[in-house]
Amino acid sequence: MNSILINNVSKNYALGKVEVPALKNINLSIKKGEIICLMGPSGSGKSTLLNLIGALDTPSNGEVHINGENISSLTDRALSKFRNKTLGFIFQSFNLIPVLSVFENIEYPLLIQDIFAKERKVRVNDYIEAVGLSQYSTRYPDELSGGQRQRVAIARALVTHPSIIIADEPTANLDHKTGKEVMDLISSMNKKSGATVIFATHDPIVSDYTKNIICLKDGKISEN
Amino acid sequence: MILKIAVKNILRNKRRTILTSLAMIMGIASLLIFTSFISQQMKGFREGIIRDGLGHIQIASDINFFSKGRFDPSAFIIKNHESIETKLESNHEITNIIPSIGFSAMAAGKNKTITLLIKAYPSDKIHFSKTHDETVNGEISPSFLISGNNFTAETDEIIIGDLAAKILDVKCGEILTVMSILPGGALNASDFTVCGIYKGGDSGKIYAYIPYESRGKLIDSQNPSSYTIFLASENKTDQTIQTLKKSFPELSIKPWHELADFYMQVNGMYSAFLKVISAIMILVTVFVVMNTMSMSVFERMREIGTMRAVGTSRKRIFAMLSLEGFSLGLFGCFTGILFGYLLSFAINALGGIPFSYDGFSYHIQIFPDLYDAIKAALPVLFVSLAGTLPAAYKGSRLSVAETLRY
Repeated sequence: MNSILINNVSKNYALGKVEVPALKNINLSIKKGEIICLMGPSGSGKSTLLNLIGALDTPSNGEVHINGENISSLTDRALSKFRNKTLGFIFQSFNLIPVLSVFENIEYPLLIQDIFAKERKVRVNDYIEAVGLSQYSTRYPDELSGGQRQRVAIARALVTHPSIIIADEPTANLDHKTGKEVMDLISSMNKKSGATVIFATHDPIVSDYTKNIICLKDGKISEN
Repeated sequence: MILKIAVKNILRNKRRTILTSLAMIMGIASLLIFTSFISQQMKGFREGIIRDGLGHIQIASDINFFSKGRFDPSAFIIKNHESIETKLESNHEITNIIPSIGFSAMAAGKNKTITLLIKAYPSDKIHFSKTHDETVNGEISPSFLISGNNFTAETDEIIIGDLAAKILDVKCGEILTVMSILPGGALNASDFTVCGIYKGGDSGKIYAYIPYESRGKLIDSQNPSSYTIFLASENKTDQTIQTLKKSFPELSIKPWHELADFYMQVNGMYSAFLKVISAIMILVTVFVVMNTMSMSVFERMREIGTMRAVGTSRKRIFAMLSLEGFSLGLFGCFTGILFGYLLSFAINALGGIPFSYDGFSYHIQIFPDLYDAIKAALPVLFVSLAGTLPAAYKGSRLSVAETLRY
């Protein structure tokens, strides 16, 4: 079954009075549980495609179907709910909320789902343990190393049990060793949860974890 | 959680929070002190006017008495005064019923003659203070004596103003001949001993007081032309007036403030002045909060984007940012009130604010009223929320993909 189906999707950005195409007629299908790696040079359209799959942006043309639902037609409120329940995000710069502790950062997406405090606590502690940060649950992001922050981001992405994980350059701000550790963690989590994982990266380490590599060039899929 | 994030974000940029709050704190504290200062001044002014002769309520036979009564007392005599007084005495809110009559007369001193407006009050109901600070409750107390004493009711006595005493060249203990005109046109004269001279400024040239018991020496009436009523509580004035109007539909009954034009003018002027200061403070708060919140949203674009990415709705982002501005306002208001109170304690501990009036120096103590404090803080709280709304709206409407690029 297709987890993600992209039909003839284009995305244009307005640069002053000029329309700049970022994606041109992309067609793509990704099966459930697959690990997909989007590669390509800067400006090739990797992040734009991830944003469209991640319901963070809407296409100029075409349709994006996630788990059979056409997300291009959803309202902003429905998209927020959809992102919270279906998607998990891991960002290049970790994007943790600085005023919240490790525990609170991981707990945050569950609060939106109105899950009871007792269940929230159990789930958050499970994921803190899974990413190896049990001793750091009360610390704040600025008290953690880059690798630790990315582990928190991974736990936050997975705590809602999403069916799709979107990772935009997850190792870009990490050294080689830490990057590998983070990739090992994502890979093992993927095996446990069966979630579809889509990466956008320049990093050759990431490509070691999957054979499904999609290369983008000038807004088009150049190699699959 | 959004409240927690809002509060933590306020504490995150301490310097900016302090500077924003400082504008509110200084504004509220200054307004509170200023309001209390004016309130104390007006309280003194109000009490002075009430004690000067207006009391809390004035009762006369006719509405025209209040403009013409002094010049033609015989036209405004209250009939059936005994039954009226009995009825008034049965009202539990009334603490003192003071009959009086006023008329104009000629006073002849050693070399000069002047016209005086004479007010006759019962000798035990009028009391001139001996010092400026002495307070008198429930009695007529027009001013304070600079020489002599209050009425003894043993002889025909008169208390005159300092300026009249100077013009007539009379001192306490000396005799003053007073002449009045009876309704038929006949002259009536009587000698009065000057028992006291009060501090009166310009009004001290015109007004003189005799005991109500001696009125028959100068005018042909035993009835009063008005009653000055003192109440247990000034707050009961309007309520008591309604009761009295039902009991005495034939009489003209007025609260003190309807007869105190100058007081109302001064009060109106101060109120307008406070409104202007309040408006300036509100404008400053709006701009400061708007600026702070715009900066806050701009600096946290990626954070807002992340929250939206993990599923936070626009409504929640709007609520979070609005709460942040509101909490900032709440903190500023609370601290402003606290600072205002502390400042007033400090001012009082140092002796109060020096103030001069009519040649006398006072030190006004500041007693902030919680109602005034809330009145000063509420608009600030409201505008701190209102000033946040544009930034909160903008922050909640940002494109998620765009904010994540920051």
